[in-house]
Amino acid sequence: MSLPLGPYRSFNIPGEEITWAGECPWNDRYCFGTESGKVVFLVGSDAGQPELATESVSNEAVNDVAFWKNLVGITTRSEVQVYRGPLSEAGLSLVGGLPSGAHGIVATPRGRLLAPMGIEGLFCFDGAQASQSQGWIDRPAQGVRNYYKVVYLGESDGNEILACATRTDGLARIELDATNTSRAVSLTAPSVDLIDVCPLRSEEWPFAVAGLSLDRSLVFVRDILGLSEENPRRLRFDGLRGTPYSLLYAVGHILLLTSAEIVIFPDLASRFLAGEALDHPVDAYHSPVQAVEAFIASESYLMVVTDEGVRVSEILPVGLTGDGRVSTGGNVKLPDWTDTQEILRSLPTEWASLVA
Amino acid sequence: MSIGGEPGRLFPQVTERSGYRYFFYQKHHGWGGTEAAQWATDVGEEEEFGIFNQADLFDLTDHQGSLYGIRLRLDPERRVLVLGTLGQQVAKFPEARTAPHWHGFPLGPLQKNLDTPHPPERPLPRDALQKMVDARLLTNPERKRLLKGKII
Repeated sequence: MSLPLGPYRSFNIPGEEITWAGECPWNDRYCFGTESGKVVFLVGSDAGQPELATESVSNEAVNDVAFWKNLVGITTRSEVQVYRGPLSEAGLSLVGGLPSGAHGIVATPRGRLLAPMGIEGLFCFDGAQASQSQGWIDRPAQGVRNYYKVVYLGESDGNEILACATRTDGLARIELDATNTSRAVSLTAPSVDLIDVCPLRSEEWPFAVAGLSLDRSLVFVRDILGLSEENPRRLRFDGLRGTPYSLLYAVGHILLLTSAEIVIFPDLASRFLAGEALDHPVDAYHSPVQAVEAFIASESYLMVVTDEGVRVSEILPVGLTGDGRVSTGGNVKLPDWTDTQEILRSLPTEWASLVA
Repeated sequence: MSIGGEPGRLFPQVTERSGYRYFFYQKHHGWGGTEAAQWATDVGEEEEFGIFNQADLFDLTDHQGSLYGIRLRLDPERRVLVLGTLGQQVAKFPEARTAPHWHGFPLGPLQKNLDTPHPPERPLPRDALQKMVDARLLTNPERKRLLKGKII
């Protein structure tokens, strides 16, 4: 198997430190969050220097941005803000939010903007009723849940289904019905400290997710709707180095960012979803990098935020290799990768279910 | 022993640089209510004092004089460990230069607005964070992640 990744192209913003990178659906171009609390939109790059549109939204570093129609939710460690766009000379207009921090934000197709606020709860803003609502905080009726990362999976029986990494409170499935009433089911286990979760985007398994624990183990769930019936599989790759930061999925692959490297496991998600045995060596590509965070754009572009800027590479399906596929002219660079084989170790785990 | 009516224990040593004394309040060690941040159960008194001592040694202060520390492990590989029961990785030691002793507790990564009359609970300030980088305790990507409220 060959490296399923093309060379990378670098982006940076003079005078700014990038802390978040993604895509703006308003113009289908990249946009960036900065340490100084700005969101910078790429508005033109046809010839010469790209043109930038900058919105100053905070004094804190932007940690996430999510769009729904003409709304954009922006989070920092000190606030959640919802603005109305689109981009214009008048700038964005603030429509809601609260002066408490969140770890990130996600938008659902029905227009909910959801921001995990740790043990404070899950901030919810109904974009479809933006003019009447300032948002609310969803919490379990009893006890606490440490909301850290939320992803949208799909719709089932009229409910929006989300998965949430809730640190030592485990993996949670959250269902939001049409009246914005939520119901959650969690699976917890000793030594699991879940810090990321990503959808595996399969037509056959639309509610499949993978999670990443601070102990460098991975958790795989084929159908989160059956969370209390089918225990997740928990696997460890002993070859990983560094503190786990981000878990990503693209075109059948699993990508993992740590404090020391980025690792690609080609086709691992596809093989798990196909029911293949994973107890034999699998390919892994390691590239040393000290990065801040990594994101997926357009389902097939890897964006790695480093001190030097953002590296953007195309992720290729198995069978289309990245070696020499893209010209290395301009600012396109070949990354430094090491090909290894990893043994997956299955970790026996006693899961406990909680409903709230 | 109790200080100000709150039970706890005074650590027998003082910090190397400033000679500060350190008090372990029971409320931050499994005996407090839900409002009191709790040290992780695998952080012993020696290690907790060591985090405070390191914070004083490198003068990891904010503009108000409070100290901040992290639980840095170097072997077998460098990692910044969790030090609080809710996954916190930073400890705050509120300014107590003129008080008989200092104390500390795990500090959350996000700003929390509390009910009046309490001021908001603020995460690690930028000035103290930059001192951790200058002291080579943290890397610049780790600094940015803490500024984002993320695990390091």
